[in-house]
Amino acid sequence: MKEELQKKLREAFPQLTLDLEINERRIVTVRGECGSWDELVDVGHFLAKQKEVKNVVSRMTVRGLAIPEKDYAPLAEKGRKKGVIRKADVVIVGAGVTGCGIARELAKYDLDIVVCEMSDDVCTGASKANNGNIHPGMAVKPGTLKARLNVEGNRLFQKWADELHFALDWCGCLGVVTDEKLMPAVEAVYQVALMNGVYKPEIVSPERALELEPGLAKRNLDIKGGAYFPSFGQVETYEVVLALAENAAQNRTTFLLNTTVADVLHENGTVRGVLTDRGIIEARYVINCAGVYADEISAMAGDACYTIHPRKGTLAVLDKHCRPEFNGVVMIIDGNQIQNKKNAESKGGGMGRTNEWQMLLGPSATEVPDKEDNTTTPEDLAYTMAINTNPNAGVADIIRIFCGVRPSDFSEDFVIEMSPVTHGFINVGAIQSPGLASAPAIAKMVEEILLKDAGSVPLRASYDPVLPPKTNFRHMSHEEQDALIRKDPRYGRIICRCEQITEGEILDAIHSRIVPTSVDAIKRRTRAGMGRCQGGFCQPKVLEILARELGKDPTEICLKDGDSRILLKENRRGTLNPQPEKGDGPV
Amino acid sequence: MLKKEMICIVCPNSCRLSVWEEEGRIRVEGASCARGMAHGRNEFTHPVRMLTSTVRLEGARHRRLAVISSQEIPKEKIREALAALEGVTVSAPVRKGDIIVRNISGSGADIVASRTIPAAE
Amino acid sequence: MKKLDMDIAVIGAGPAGLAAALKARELGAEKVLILERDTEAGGILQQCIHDGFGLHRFGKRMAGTEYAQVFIDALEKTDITLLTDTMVLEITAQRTIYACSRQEGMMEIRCGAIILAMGCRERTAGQIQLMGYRPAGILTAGSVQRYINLEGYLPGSRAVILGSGDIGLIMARRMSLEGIKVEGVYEVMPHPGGLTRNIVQCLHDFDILLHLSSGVVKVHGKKRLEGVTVARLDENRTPIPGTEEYIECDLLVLAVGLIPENELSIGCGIEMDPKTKGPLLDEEFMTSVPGIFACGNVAVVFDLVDYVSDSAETAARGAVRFLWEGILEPLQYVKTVPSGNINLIVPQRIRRGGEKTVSFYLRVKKPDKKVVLEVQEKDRVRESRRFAFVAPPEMIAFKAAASGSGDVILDMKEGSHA
Repeated sequence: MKEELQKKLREAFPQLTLDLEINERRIVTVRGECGSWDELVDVGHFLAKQKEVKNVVSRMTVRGLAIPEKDYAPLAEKGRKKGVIRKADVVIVGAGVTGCGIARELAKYDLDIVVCEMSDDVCTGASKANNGNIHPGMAVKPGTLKARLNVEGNRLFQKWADELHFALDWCGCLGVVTDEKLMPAVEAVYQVALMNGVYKPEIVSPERALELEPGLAKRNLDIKGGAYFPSFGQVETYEVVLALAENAAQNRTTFLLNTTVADVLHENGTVRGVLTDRGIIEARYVINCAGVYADEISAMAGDACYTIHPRKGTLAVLDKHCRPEFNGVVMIIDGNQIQNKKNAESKGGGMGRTNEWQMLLGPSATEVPDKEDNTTTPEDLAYTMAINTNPNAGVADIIRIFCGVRPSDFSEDFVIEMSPVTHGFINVGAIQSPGLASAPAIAKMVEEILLKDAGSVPLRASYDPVLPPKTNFRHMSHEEQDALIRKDPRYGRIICRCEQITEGEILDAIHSRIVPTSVDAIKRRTRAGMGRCQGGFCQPKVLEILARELGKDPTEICLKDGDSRILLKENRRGTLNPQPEKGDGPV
Repeated sequence: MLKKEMICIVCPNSCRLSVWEEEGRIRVEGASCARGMAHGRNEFTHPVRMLTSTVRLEGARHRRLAVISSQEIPKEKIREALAALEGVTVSAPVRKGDIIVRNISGSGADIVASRTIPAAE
Repeated sequence: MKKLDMDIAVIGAGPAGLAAALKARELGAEKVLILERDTEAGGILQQCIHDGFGLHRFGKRMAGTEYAQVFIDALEKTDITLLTDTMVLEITAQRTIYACSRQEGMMEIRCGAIILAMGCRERTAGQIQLMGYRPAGILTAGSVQRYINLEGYLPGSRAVILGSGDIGLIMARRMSLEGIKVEGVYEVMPHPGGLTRNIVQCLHDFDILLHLSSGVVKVHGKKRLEGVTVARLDENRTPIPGTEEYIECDLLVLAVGLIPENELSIGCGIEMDPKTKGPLLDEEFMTSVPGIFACGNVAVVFDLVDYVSDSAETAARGAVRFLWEGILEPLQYVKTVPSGNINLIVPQRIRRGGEKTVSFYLRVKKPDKKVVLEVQEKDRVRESRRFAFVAPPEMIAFKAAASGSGDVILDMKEGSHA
């Protein structure tokens, strides 16, 4: 088998000298030097596509390119000195939508759960920088784990929204074609949707398309037909993740922020816990939800079974004055679109909108060697802006450009399993799009894996799945606003003028279970700073409130995680204290 | 003979001036008006600037009090004057025009409050 | 909900709002109210501690704070109501304002006339498509000004300034005086965005270089700013390969333009001018919604505060007249049309009929010397003015007569030899 694979590889990449190893789990490890990063990714994809291969671990290098690697040694050293700081039943590595979703699901059992997150807040990795689409599941390959979990997750999302009170809008996704020749492609997508079990897909006539999205009428298109997916939803991912985390915390889950897992402790094929930079946490189960670092965490557990190749995506948010033309996502396909080859593996983004009715474009898809490379580039932005077909919106209307990194592996499917190598270590890796839509189903699947292993686990008597709704000043009627301010005047002081966010809402966020300590953490919880001035006016006020409430000096307040202080020092301090003399009147 | 090149700022015309000293007289080249000539001469012999800055403030909602010099002060004294302001703290209330530092750095100019600040409630 | 009835409500207590309220009261409006979202009156002037304000109105160069204080002191001698810490959430076309504050809760304020004076805001990193990482240490010039002058903190120790508008230049000097090393000012346009006076006194005095046709092409630093890559730009503003240069810095100051803050205006259906990004105004500075006026930087970015106050008084006169006379029948307008080197004009239109004197504010497209500005009405030259020098940063303000009988063309061309 190895020889045959080696031969296929040589035929496909005659210019490269590569060595293969394949184990009984059909995991291929490939070594050798490639000419470029893109070539390395192509090799990985090529191998993973072979029938006899389950997944690919890359040990390849690239000529003239230093692939950035995280150095865990100093963190491990620091943690080892502290010894055991905590004993728990379950440690979850990573507080993105997957980690927090699982934490919340498991919190209904009488388990001691600890979530370790390297950043200063939950939802700072791939979960932060995406377009918030809840995909219906028509764009994933039938028969994959992704396809099953996407469709299941999509159905479970409404329950999450009902219990956790985040905004979820089933705005729908409509694809229309203006060329008769493209109708078979529409039919094909519809068939995939049926095969995957997508909720109520629909082939639509031109009239039905206009009825679903009246905004299309203004475009004067000769629509031939299309497909509609009513189960396409829109959320703000950080709202979802925060709600999951808060509800998990409400049900006694511990969140350790600024805590990096530097090693996974295991012996005799059984996991024992994790070594973090803050000390050792012993646990029976370690659940790996570490996003772009999941392959490294898995290797730490002695189970190197996939490699994450980061794929970054650039998104643009437009000013609210560019009113979205459509209620949901609309794709207009006229046959001239060139399929972006690189984008074919990830679900790229379309022309959508946030639930606050801002146009949202992207993401793009670019392979990069650095897992933390979330730089925006002119090329990626050009790709993202080319998605726009709204004639009244353009580059000049952008208020924010951001970029996230997808944790994709070469099989381009999710890796969710109890490790066959290290018992008690559960991989939940390579969760890229549609990871958000799949998250509720992923949580259920991990719950089943754990229960199957642990046998019966008693339920938590005090479990409450409901997170009370947050006060949301901007969406209230003036009468409701008046009543709220009379009850609590702190809601009468507007801090973020663009998005109308009150001091009361910021204080609610600061005094919540997952305490935000940075300006961006406040932004994700309240929207303060997300509007068109991008914090130009409210940042000094938010900073002041954070310093006051957390008992810190303003020079300690950071924009985001790490050393990202906004103010470096207080300027000249006077000491003399003379009393001002009365002047000769106004100058 | 050291020539000094500068852009005239007395009007938006922005004439490029060359100013130098020749046999005890200041020569200005490039000015298209008498005001420009005078500006060039002044900038060459004794350039002056207004000084605006802030001093530390106590007993008010704000932490800094904006101040201004009562007249222009020699350019070479600006740094020294700023250094002198570094040690100053003022208590509210302050009224616009109140003298914060008299005759700063021996320049002849006073540093005065450029706004009124009531005492904190 | 608290209900109020006002003759005139002014939104914003910056230089425009203060001047408008004072003038309206002086002209006889009785119940005048100012709604201010900040904790005190003065607007952005409270952080403008530098001098250069008031030359036109007061004949001397005052600090921004001093200029504001004149109006604040005047206000205290009147019975005008000033509500600070009060945010206007909504205005209706029927001239009802919804505003809130800690003290008052929500207020429903029915107004005889409304004067908008909300000012402007700064363009941001996203709007100029700044590329690279998004670390701490990237701030707009106004934010830096606020942090240093009002809060008393320094947001960096080595700064690069992007944009050569006046605020950027002023901050170059201010930061230099506070011990922040300014590594250079980069301007994407081939000509400076600010006044020559500021380039001389804020850059030349401190040996700071101004790099024209240059921009920041990449931001470095994942958490805190570590440096920027700058490059020269061609005429399409595309970086010229080989001209990239890395500059170590921990502060990037954006001085890349101002935009009138018209969210409330748009919310009540006021028609906007894409050129000024402010409301479409007539000679009384009335918007397309009868009884709602606009002045100051929410109308058009003036730069010069003296003109801001002047425009406010024009709007106040209009508002008081509206209060007393109303508008009996739908107004008809003639347009003001820019021609030649003229880029934009306020007012954009003039009421039809009746000889009147109109205050015009305009900006040119590019710098020029020895030009003639003509006001033409029906092929008749109503007014003609010579300028030795014009440039985009210098707004031109002048008064001219118009009859409202046809479109008014403002044309700027090469000066005659006379």
